[in-house]
Amino acid sequence: MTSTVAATVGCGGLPFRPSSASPRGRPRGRWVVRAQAAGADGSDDKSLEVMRKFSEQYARRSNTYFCTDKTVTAVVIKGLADHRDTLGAPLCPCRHYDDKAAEVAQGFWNCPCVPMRERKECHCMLFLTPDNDFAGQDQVISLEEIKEATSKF
Amino acid sequence: MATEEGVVIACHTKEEFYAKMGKAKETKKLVVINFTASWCGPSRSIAPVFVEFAKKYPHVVFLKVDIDELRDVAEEYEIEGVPTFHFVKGGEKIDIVVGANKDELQTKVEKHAGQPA
Repeated sequence: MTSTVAATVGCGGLPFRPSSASPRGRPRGRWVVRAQAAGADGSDDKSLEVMRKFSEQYARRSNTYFCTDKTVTAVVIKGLADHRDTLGAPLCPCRHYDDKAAEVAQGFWNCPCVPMRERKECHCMLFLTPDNDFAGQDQVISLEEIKEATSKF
Repeated sequence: MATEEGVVIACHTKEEFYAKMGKAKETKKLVVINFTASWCGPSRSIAPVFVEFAKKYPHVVFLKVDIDELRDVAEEYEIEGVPTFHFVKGGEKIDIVVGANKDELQTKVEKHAGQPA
């Protein structure tokens, strides 16, 4: 009945305008969870929690939704967290790179990648626009959900 | 070998991969290679579909390659995003599916598979 697609998803920020709102490659800082140097804390869940929170915030900010199959969401967040730990930045886990360190420095595929920032295209299916057949209703995922889903693999 | 029909063969070494490719070339079977990455959500979600297809089309060879494990193979096939599926027959790349698109994958398997021997 009330399954209308939310027109605004309470983020209070400026509407997401892929190519004109903010200087290229430098989105508004308060919405962006950038990976800091890895390993400061050393706990296994630190990066997972950072990337979980980032994913929730960025979904709200970009008016995108997680996949109906939250295992997809959980696996990608785990992949981002692993890259944050090993490379210092959440490099996209669904791509092949000749040189991951160089790719991180270049920044194009650090999440949120340029295609996502500019055109809301996320081939990892982490952030799905409401018209996508696989988009669910959620913009939240708990740490427990992620751990449970990824423990199967 | 009969034991390798109807299942997905995960290749963990280059040698293993090229051996399977060589054998399929000899027997002129269609090979579908699933290029995957361990923490890529769509790669995970399409995996059971690939297993299902392996059962359904036993005259087709279904190989799985982790792009971080077999980097040389991923480079040879110029993999960018995953999952990517390459179709190879008689040693030649004949088609490709990029992304976890079950319907497109099935359509192309059926198109290229030919008749069971």
